Amino acid sequence: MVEILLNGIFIGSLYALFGIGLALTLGLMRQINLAHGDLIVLSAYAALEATRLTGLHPLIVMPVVVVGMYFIGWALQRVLIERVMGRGETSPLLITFGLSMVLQSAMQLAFTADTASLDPGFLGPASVQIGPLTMGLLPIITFGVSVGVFALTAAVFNATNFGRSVRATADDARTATLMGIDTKSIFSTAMGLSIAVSAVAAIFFGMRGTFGPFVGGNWMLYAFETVILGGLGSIWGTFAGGLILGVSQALGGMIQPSFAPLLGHIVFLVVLLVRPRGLFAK
Amino acid sequence: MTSMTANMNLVRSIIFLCVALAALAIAPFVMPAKAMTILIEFCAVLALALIWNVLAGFAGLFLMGFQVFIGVGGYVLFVTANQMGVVPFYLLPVAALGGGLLAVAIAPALFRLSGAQLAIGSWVIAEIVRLVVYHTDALGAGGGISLIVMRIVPRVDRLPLTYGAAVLVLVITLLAIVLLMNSKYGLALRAMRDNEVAAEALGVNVFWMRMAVLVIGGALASAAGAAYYLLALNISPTSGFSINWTATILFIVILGGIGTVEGPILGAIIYFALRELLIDAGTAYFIAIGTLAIMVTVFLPGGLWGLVRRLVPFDLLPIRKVAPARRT
Repeated sequence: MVEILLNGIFIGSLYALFGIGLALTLGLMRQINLAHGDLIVLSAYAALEATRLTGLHPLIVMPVVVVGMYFIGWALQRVLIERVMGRGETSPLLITFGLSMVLQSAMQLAFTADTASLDPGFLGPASVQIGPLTMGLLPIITFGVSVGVFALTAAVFNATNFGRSVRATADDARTATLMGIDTKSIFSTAMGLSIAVSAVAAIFFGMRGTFGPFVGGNWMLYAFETVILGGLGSIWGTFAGGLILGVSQALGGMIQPSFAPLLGHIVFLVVLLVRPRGLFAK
Repeated sequence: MTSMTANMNLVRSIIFLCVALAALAIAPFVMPAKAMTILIEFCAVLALALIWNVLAGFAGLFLMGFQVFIGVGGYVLFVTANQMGVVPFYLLPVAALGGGLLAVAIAPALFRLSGAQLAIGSWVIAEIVRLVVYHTDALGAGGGISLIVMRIVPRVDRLPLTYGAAVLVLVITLLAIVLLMNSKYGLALRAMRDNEVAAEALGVNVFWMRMAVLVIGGALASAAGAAYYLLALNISPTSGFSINWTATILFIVILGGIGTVEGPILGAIIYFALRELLIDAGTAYFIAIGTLAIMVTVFLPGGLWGLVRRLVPFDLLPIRKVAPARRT
């Protein structure tokens, strides 16, 4: 029981990383990238290819993948989404829907429809003894990295010029432009970061479980649920939202493996009905 | 003056609908059975695209989880027909009732969200329904159910009757949209599309408009889904609640032009033509149509119908209204 809960918390800390990327673009541009999940899957495949080519550990190739995904996100905003901004909420959805379709099919062509996973190497069996509990080293590192990323995000938002610009733009993009903030650059940086942060999660996810070309849709839903559960605009709320989703799914999986996503969805729906602004909204 | 143009609009729409109906009525006599099955699918998918377009293009309800109505329509039809042992064609209204009730049931959750969030929220709801059906043994669980009651219908009658059902659903959908869009509610819907806050300020009850459109749209969508599954003869949670339904509809609406009535018609014709032409292309086909969807959204916001409309200034199903002359 305790193990299942802990497992839910570790997976949840990854959902939180999926979610923080989505929360950034949703809060800033009021738009959802329908290809968010597919881009996460793409980073997992990129890491897989990189480890195959170099023989290095997934965590070693991670910086390269993360930087690469940053530029893909940046380019997505600059080349495509920017062209339709100001035309309402529909156009970005339509564009990213097309992108999702292209990515899924392209990944199927390149990597087949079979599931894949990343080899965690020595981290796979490694474990530590904490009191009566034996815990895997990988889940602990996963959780630590997630907390670290959230702490960094919170620090950046509260204390840097970039963070202040993002918050100003999220509040009122037009006024922010008048104040001399280059909102276009803020938007593309945010989109880049959104994908880059999720790429970190993708690599940890790939070392623990499997992924395939078509799981992106589900991952996008989990990211969305995480954001709404926590409450849009609250960084640590998103973290908590991820943990709640992870634990709900773990509990659902106890009943029957295929119950895992269902219980997660139901918890989301209940929170939406009872507290539409999320559990930790400011 | 205004009422005259409104009447002219309606007359023109009705002429177009009669021509379309005549063409659809002649089709079964001149077409081989294979073409008939494609045409049945075409009618069902076109009806779905037309409904989705009104929801997303006018009422601000961009539903990524639209497939929920299709699956529920199919399941309601199959279960009631099998249970009652009735010729399934008579039960399309029951499927529609199921879709309408579903719309009422999901509205409280859905309407807590808006815009992009509503889009994804509806997808979560569709997933919940899919997973619940998947775990319900009475509904055949993961394997789904077959329309065994179809045995009581003679084999030679099945295809023509299914065709009739699909055409009927399409015609009712088209008629409902033409009448709605030419009524004062249509005007309110277009006002909502252009500026929701302004529409509300001018006395449009946005909440009830949205609710009404969702219930009517949901009912019609479930009927269209049921008509499709009359052809398929079996339904499973994976097929009935597949996101691919919404993906197809989205593609059709993007291609034709979101927020016009003719757009989805043109989009559906092109989609089916592309699909039949590129049937051997496999995965590359999806890459091609995904790219096409991106290109059209970026460079042709009005879709292909918008392009046609620029070259030929003539609406087939006009919903525009001429503003009354300004008094000076």
